[in-house]
Amino acid sequence: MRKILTVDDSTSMRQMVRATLQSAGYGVVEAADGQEALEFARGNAVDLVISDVNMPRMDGITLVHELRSLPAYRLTPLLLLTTESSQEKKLEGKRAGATGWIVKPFNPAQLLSTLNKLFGTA
Amino acid sequence: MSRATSIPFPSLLELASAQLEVALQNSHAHIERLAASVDAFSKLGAELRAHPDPAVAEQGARLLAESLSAMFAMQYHDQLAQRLRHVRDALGDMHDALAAPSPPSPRALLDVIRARYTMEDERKLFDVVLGAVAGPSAEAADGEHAALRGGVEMF
Repeated sequence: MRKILTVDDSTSMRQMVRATLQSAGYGVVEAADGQEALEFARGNAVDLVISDVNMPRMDGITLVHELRSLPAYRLTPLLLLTTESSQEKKLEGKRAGATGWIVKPFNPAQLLSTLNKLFGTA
Repeated sequence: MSRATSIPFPSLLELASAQLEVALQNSHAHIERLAASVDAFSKLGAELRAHPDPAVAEQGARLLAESLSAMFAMQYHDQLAQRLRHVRDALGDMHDALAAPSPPSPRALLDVIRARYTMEDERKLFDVVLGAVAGPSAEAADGEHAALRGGVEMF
């Protein structure tokens, strides 16, 4: 079973992302902010990360930057899922090493289709 | 003292900010409860979808599809909460500016408020209402994201 780390400071958003991913058979690990996610990632590998951008303690773009410095996460797909729509932020995410940018509200079917493409299971 | 200066603007701003905070806190627990229920329905739907009886499996698939639709709709609460937080924070900025011994310039205050926004339509509304006051820096080049909402852009 592929394991996905989801990061969001909103409990309800984490529940929605988890339900979507579990409905397609993915295993899900959750973190409430970038710092918690990074601490988990330092000791555990996952197949993909989906992270919010604006969070307390550590934002999603910093998390992407930090994850890319970990050998286990050098090639892991890192998706940013956010209400943030500024070009500047999107470029920051791209430069930090994000794989893609999803604007909330996310469409569950489209998210699963994207994962299928990333995992080559489409 | 004129009538206008006797109105306690800082306190009114603080009150409006506090009212928004209470509304956000009150709705928070309920939306989490709702999300947990929809999550449970989706799990049940996924289980039933694998049932050997095709009629039960079909009902399971429908339950799962409806749960995912509900989840999509529920994300608008997250957007609403973010928008209210930005309004609450802007009220706090205005309160602080009014209460400061040497208040910031109007332009500096507007820049701080606009920088809090994360959504394209928040910035557009700000620019429509205050663009002439805030000046050219308020123009944002994020129009293409209108079409992206709900979509996925791979780098």
